[in-house]
Amino acid sequence: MKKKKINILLVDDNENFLTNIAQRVKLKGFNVFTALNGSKALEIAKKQHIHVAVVDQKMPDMPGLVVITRLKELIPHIKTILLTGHGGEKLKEATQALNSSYFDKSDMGKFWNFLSNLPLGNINILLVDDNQNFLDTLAERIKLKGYDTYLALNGAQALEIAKNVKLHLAVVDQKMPDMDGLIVITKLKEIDPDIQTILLTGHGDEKLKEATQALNSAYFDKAEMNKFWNVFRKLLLHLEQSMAAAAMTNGGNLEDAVKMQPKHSKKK
Amino acid sequence: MVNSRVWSPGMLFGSMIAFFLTSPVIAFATELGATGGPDKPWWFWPIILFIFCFILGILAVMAGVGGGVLYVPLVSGFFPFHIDFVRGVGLMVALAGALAAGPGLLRRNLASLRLSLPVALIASTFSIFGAMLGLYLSSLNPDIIQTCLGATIIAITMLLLFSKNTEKPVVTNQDAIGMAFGLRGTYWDDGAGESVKWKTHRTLAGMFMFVIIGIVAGMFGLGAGWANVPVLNLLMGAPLKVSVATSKFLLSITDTSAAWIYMNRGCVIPLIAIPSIVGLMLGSLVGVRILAVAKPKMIRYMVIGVLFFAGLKALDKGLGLGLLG
Repeated sequence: MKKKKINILLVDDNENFLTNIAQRVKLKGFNVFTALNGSKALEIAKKQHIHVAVVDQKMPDMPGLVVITRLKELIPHIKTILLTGHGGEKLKEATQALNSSYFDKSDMGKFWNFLSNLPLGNINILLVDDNQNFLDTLAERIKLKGYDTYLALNGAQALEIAKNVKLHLAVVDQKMPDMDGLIVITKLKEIDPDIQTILLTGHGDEKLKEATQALNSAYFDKAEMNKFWNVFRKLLLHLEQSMAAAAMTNGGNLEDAVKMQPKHSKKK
Repeated sequence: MVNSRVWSPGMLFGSMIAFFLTSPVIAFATELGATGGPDKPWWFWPIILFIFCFILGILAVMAGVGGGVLYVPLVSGFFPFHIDFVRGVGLMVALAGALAAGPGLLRRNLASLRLSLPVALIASTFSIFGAMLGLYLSSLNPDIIQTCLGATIIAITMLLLFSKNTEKPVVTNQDAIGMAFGLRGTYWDDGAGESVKWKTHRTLAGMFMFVIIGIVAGMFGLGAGWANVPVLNLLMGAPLKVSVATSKFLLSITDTSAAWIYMNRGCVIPLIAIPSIVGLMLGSLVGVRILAVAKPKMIRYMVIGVLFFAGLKALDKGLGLGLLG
């Protein structure tokens, strides 16, 4: 699966400032669109799917807040940021009332921080499993690949999340206390027909596999990957902990080493 | 796993000592080393080295002495390898152990990155000089290195025997350099059940000591834990746990620089390096398991004794006295 790039629209009437900021934003790995005034910005937003818009307040044709309001009408999920050199508390409040972020040009550091923390992946993955450990492990690995994860311990939680968040992919365990994975998948597809689904099971058989595929969903046997990654992970963790314990003996302090051992901490 | 019911501490202790002292591996290696060794198949020395390093790994952990510092004097003393190869591999051995332990120590907040980086910069720069100096002296006459190594090892044994580290040194005023580098931190003390704040003092003197430590580490291929810990703990005033963990983490930076010099000169032979690293690491793993069952203090003195003997032997070999055979 390819990581989706985030489209950022930068709107400012100062061309120098716009070029500078566009270069830096591009370096951070975003797709950048620029507009010198509000009407041009709205034109771009009609043609492109913009995820984030950074808008200057003082522009010749319309003020930034108006641009933001119209952008939100065009693209309801858009994230907007008002970036201004002529700010004040009132403007800040007005911006925040529009559910938009507000940054002062005199303090660009905050703006860059905010941008760095935007999730680049923009692909939301829902993981549903009643085994918390497995869920955490899987989430950790998926996050490392740059995707956003949502975790649910049962079907009901999963459906609740799906109602509130736009999900791209759901990985669902078959055997759960409240409802079967197949039912969760069916309901998820009812909520969002575009969602991709994967049934992950440790208790699978041929019939289940067929049923899953009939729902246009992929099917994986958990036992195989579980076994492999668990052994691998445990080995690495064990080695790391033991070597850290061994290292602590160097100062002649053997008590600490004993406490740091993997088995010892488990017993505790 | 070692079963505590089957292995009583006494039995374990006795068998460890007996095994070490009467180990046919050591006797064999010494004998062959002295005679230059008859023609053996290629796998012979790696296997002997693996077993030797496995035992060394266990003992190093039980004695609370770094494996790296034992490796060079003992292997150069008992095996018929040129000292350059032993020093090169010695660095790799210390490096492997440090790299494997590093993440665990950082995760526990015991190894301090802030404390490591400035001193690592100094120590690793000078370990490069040390490695170059060591190889230069060795090219003039390997005996010079043997003699210096012997003297250093004897000094180390004295340090191990007589230096009394302080668990939590009292630092009233941090000096300007320490403050500028932000050399302070907090760690969670499991035993006391409290978080311990620490800061350093005498930073400049400490940094100067790392110049010497870097040179010695690079020159002899010794892991420098034996020197790092007293400097960080006694001189700079970092708590013992932080000093030990930071010292181990430091090795992964310092030894990398020096190891390059040895690798570049072809001094790291996989046939020696792999059995040594795998043996020592497996030994350490077993060692920490045994520690949970038995912590015989005698082993520390015994290992220091063996190290002292190895130092004498290196000195004897270097000066060509022939007193120890």
